[in-house]
Amino acid sequence: MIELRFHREFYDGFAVDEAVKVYSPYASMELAREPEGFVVRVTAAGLDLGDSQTANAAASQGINEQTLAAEMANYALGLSVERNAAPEAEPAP
Amino acid sequence: VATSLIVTELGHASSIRIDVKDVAVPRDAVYAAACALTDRCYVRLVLGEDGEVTVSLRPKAAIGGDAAALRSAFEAELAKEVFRCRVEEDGRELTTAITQSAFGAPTGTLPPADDLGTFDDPLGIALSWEQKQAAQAAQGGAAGEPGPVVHDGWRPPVPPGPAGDSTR
Repeated sequence: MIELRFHREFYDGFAVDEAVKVYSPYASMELAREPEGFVVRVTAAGLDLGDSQTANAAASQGINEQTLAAEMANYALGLSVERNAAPEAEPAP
Repeated sequence: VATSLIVTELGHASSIRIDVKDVAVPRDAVYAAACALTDRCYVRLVLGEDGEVTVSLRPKAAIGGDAAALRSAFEAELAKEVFRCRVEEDGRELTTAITQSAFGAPTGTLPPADDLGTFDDPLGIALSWEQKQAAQAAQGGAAGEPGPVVHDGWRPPVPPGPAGDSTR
């Protein structure tokens, strides 16, 4: 299990949440909120995935827990930068 | 960017930690520089106890690369982004003026919406009916003429009488 800490100063909550959703088919991910930021626990071993084909494909490509966690962190950073740069969306009428 | 304020620490065989302690480095520049390297390495941003930004870089296995090359790439990217941020900040006023004029916005400073100052309204367009009637009544009373009576409800206007009525 790998525990990733995302500080609130740098990472947007929606971005971290979105990254967890995107990568959750490939590993078991648990998102927790803490005062200083967000904590994501990534577990690739002993997966209980509904889609075993996806798990097999990930394993055959040599994607391990560490790589998944790092890729997820990159994704969260990219989304955070994107959200930081984009102007605030106006609420729908 | 003063390179002396960027501290590099070699962690694993090919990972690198960079502490950006320079307060003159805007956060957006760090963001952009870190994001530019996500195609060739894994990037993590950590806030230190002293408020410095620690950037952890680990090259992707499929791409390879060494820590020294990553450090150079990050520093070059950071310098570029800091310069871009400064240019953007310096030209913000000009950019705003050009954008506003392109969309037909009035130039100059507008007063706040709730403070119109002295509003010239000779025809009384901005007045309500009651205000207009009261103003006319006040003007008529000052001139010695009877002003219109303001009723609570509406009444049809009385047509003027024949011209000879006043002579009777």
